[in-house]
Amino acid sequence: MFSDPRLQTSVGRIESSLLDLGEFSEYFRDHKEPDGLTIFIPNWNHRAFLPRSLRSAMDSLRYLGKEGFSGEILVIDDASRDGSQKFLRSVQALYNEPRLRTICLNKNLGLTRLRNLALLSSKHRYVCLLDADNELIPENLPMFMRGTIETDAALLYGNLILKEGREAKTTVSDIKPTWFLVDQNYVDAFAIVNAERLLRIGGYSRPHPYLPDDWEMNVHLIAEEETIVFLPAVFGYYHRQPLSANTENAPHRETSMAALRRIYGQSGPRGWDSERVGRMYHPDIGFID
Amino acid sequence: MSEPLEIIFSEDGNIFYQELASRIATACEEISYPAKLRSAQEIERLAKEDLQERVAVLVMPSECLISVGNSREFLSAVASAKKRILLLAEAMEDKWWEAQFQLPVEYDAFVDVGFVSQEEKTASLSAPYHFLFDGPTEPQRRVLERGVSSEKRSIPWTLVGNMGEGRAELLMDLIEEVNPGGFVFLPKAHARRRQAILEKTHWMLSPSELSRVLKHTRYYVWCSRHSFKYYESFRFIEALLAGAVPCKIVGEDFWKETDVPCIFSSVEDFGKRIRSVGFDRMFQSSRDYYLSWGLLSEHLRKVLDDVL
Repeated sequence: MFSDPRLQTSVGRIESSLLDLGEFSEYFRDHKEPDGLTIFIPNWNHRAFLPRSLRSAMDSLRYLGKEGFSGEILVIDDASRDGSQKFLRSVQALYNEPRLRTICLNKNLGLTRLRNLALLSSKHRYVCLLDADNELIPENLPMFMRGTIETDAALLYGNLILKEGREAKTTVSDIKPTWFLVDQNYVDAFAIVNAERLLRIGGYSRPHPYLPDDWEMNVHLIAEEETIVFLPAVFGYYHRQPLSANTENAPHRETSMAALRRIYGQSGPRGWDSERVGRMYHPDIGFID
Repeated sequence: MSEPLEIIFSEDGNIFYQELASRIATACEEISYPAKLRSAQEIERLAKEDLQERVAVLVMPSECLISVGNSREFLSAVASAKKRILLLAEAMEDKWWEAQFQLPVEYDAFVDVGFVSQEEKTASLSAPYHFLFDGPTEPQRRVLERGVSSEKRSIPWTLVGNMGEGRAELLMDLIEEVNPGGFVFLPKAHARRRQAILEKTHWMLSPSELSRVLKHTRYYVWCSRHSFKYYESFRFIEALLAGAVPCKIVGEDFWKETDVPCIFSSVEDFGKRIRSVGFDRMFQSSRDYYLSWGLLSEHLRKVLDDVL
């Protein structure tokens, strides 16, 4: 479908309207609380996985509270057809948890717009992007919050243990922020971002159908010289499913790379091509590199 | 008269081998043995006659070759030395040991640095094998004789290395069975590593960065990236010097016959030990073991007497 490069360009320009979400303005929060965290769970037909991600998010709120951080969980369902919306309404009714907000959309926006809607609607400045099939390590979230605040990071990421079923296979989001981040999609969206800073630079975008929006955002942040920080502890579990979106994109890395170069690399290598593009930080140690 | 040594290493290669080269040079100094520490690039620029009366000690030569501009010049300089000693700290079954024999260099001796001799594996070697116990240098001994404190060690454990076989499982076990808040840095040694070396991208932790981490750590945990009988002495030393307890997790039982402390057959065993014995006693047993073996320079003197 996207073999014609002119069509790719057109698709890219249509995607540039990704922040045009005015019809949802009732959810927007212009003033964000500066020292709390919104855990955002986008959901599209992940009914089976929601109990796990929601449980880890709820436990995380408890640990955040112990260290004096406020928090909320924001679940936006992207017009699922698998019973997710009914499940979410049940959870809302059952737990009567004021810190859990669910928004059920009746038309599908796609993940990129959904992420931007979350950035616009979060109660807190800091947003943890937790895909519905992933899982936080609740005890560690306060450490990541401290790291984000202490470094004033626009994006702070930590190791994710990639699991297939019960088995731990490897880690992702596990490297120092060097030029490798430009070279490949090493850092998953499952991280903490500063919503105000991301919105200021235009939010998430997907200028090419095979270019993951988290990779594009990482390179965008590098180009805008925003602060990217790696905190070397385990942030959560990344559960790989046979039909997950990253599996679909993997064979198209070269195409994605070409699209990235078209935007960020037209004038050849820049300073960040050869060295670090962010810092490594641990709250108990300080900056490590 | 002693034959002077040229200790040759790669400035851009594995930091552990840079450290090893430097410690060997310090040990030589302690016994007043003439030795110079040289980067592979320096050797490449030397005239052939400069090495003719000297002994080349090649520390991980395959990495030396990556870092030099002209491998022919480098190999030719090495070939002109009076003798060539290969100095490694790897399991002999491992690909890193094998990789050294892909190079067109004829060695006069192999020196294996570590805690446990691999003599039983040496049948196919083309030159004599010598085991060198990886003891402390004099400055390291002084550091170890000072006490350490468990206070301010807020990081429960640290796991650092390349992501390899078994390490993801080890990580998950540490999180689930010991404490989720450990320090974890396990980047993959991917295909761009060679390019990273050439472009000097610092994709691993430097020795000083690791030392800073370990100064806040209680237990420095690792497992081998292979199942061969081998103990990574450099990890033990890194931990001890920073005041952390070195803890190796192994799946095999052949370690029962060694006296190296804090080797555990599973994370579960490790968890039980830290709960029952605790940091202070575990650290003390590791330090006592290490100091009881004597200095690196004493062991090196014996090896040099045998080799030269």
